[in-house]
Amino acid sequence: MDELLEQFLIEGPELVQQAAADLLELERRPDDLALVDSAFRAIHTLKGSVGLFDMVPVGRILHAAEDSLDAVRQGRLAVTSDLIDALLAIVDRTEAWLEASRGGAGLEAGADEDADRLTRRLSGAAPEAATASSTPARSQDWALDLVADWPEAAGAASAVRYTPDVQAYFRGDDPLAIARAAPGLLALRVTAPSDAAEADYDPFACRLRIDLLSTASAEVLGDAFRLVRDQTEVASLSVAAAAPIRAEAAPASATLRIDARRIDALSTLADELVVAKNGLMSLADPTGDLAAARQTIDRLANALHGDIMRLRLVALSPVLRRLERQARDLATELGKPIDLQVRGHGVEVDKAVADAVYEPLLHLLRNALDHGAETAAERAAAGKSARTRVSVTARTAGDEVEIEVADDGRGIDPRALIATARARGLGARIDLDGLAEAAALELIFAPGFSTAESVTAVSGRGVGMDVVRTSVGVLGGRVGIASEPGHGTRTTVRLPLTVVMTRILLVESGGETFGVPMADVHETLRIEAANIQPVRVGQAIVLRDAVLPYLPLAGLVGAASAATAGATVLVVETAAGRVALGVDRITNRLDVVLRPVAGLLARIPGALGTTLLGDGRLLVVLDVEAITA
Amino acid sequence: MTIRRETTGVIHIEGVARVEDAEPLVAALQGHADPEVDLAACTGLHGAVLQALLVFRPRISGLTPGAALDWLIPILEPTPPPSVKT
Repeated sequence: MDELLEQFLIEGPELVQQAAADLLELERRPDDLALVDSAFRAIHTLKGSVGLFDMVPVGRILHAAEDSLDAVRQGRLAVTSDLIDALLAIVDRTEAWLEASRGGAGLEAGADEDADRLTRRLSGAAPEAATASSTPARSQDWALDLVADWPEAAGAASAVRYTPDVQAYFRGDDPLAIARAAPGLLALRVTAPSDAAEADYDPFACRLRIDLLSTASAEVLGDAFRLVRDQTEVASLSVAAAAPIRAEAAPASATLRIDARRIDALSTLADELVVAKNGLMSLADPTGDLAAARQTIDRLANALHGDIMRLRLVALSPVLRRLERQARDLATELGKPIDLQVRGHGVEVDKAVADAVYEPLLHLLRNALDHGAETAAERAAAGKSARTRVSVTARTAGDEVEIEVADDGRGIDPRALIATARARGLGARIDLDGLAEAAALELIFAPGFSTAESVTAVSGRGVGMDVVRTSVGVLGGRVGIASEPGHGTRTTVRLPLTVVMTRILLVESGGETFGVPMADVHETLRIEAANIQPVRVGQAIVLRDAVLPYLPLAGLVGAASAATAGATVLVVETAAGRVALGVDRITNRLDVVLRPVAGLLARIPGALGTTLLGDGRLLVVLDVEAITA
Repeated sequence: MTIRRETTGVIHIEGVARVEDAEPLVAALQGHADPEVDLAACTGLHGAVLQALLVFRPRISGLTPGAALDWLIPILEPTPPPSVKT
């Protein structure tokens, strides 16, 4: 791909996001001119970049959007919800077209008509801007560029670009004198093309271009330059002047753009370093100096790994902003008034998590709007405020990010869920009669279940909550739901912030080596064979007056049973309580990066993941919960 | 005549340079590989004269802050080529 285009396709979507965020905020605070400026700048920059590529329709709609925003800046146009809608439609379309360009596809055949439709919609929402855009708004382009890199611009009220025609000297004009006579002259810039320095240079052909800033108003300046009106452009800087300066003055953000693949390569190296460190430690004489240095190497390797993982952290805000826009569109589509609150823009998550979490969250949000939110009439009847309150909240909780989608809508009636499940034929698989009401909510996650009574464009696209649970599960997360009929629903997605290091115990059992996550192991102890007591169909041990079920690991994983002269016992925590897990011996303790079990290995029951040992062996790390269940 | 060329090659612009001074100035500028223009005695100049200075970019001397023509300083300062505006 063209390098320039590639760069643009990185920056473009960020500008789109910026513009969209500003517009959404602007709807809430229509008087905030800083937002108008910010959106204007984003769109202006986008338009400029788009002009470099073969994207004429995109340039057109952006230009129209720019004109409207400019009219808002100059107070010629009021911010209305219609205007914001039309502008957002343009921003969305731009994003879609950028996305298509990334895929290498050009703009589709209907792009021109689309652009026409969008600009018409905008001029419908901004009639005044449309009529005014023919002259002054157009001229703002150069003025904006002008003040952007001209420090004197801060106090300027207007700008003039005076391009005298070639005959000016012959007519007896001195453009310099005209410009110097401008009222309120603040700063003057005169340029002439240096490529004119040739042997046949004509000293009497005017090639000057004069830009100036003035404290006088555009009207006064227009009058001062009336004799050369056809050669001048006058722009009012009432708002434009200060804003770009502010932007220039903002400290340049100290970030580097790094190809995600390089970070991935780096993190793989760090993973391997951890593995190699483990290999080295197994060779070390436990009493030697190397073993003494172990703690330092441990610490450094882990810190390195952690820092590299943090490199992959990205802000969740682009995802949240997209959701915010979607929610807005959906609410309009459904005719349900909502109050949306999105919090947690600053939360950072692993890039892989950020990339994958949008779809599941969108689905949850759709459900909240489609199924949860009531119409204004229904809410009035229920004695609630007219607008359904919907919130999306992201926060970090330990090494997890928790994203909650909540609404104060009609909630979920468990009995209705059971009835629907029965109607959908789920009764054959699930014991619906014995289901407690609280547990009935879980039915939502059952494959083949959808509560939508009528299939709308919003939800009911054949994707159910089971898909949400699966896709969140793939990311190493989980979904929970709570609901109170009549008062609302709260769904919570929890995801790991990063790919984390897992500390494991290496255990041998029946001649095989397994890993057990340290977090699951409560304590380890040695017991004599005589202390293992048969209890009905199983075995148990007594530990500090408590009876724990005793399960030999070899038996659980289908390995050959070893001699039972005595055993090492791992006391592990499970949902069902503590269990004593019998192994032959504990050989080591390691920090590993768990890889998900894939392919054929996925069929091994009770495997949490795999990792490579220092000597190259593949180690299966056990899911204690699953093997003891 | 306000354009005076010294034997050292330094071109002096004196008094008010008018539009007709642009031609001899250009001739003087073109006659030297590395021209220098002294504006110390210059009190005003026509756009066509400034244009010649902007186009041929001679070394400029004699422009001091506080002088009648000090407003020319930012204009005649050697500037990097303008960045491409997008």
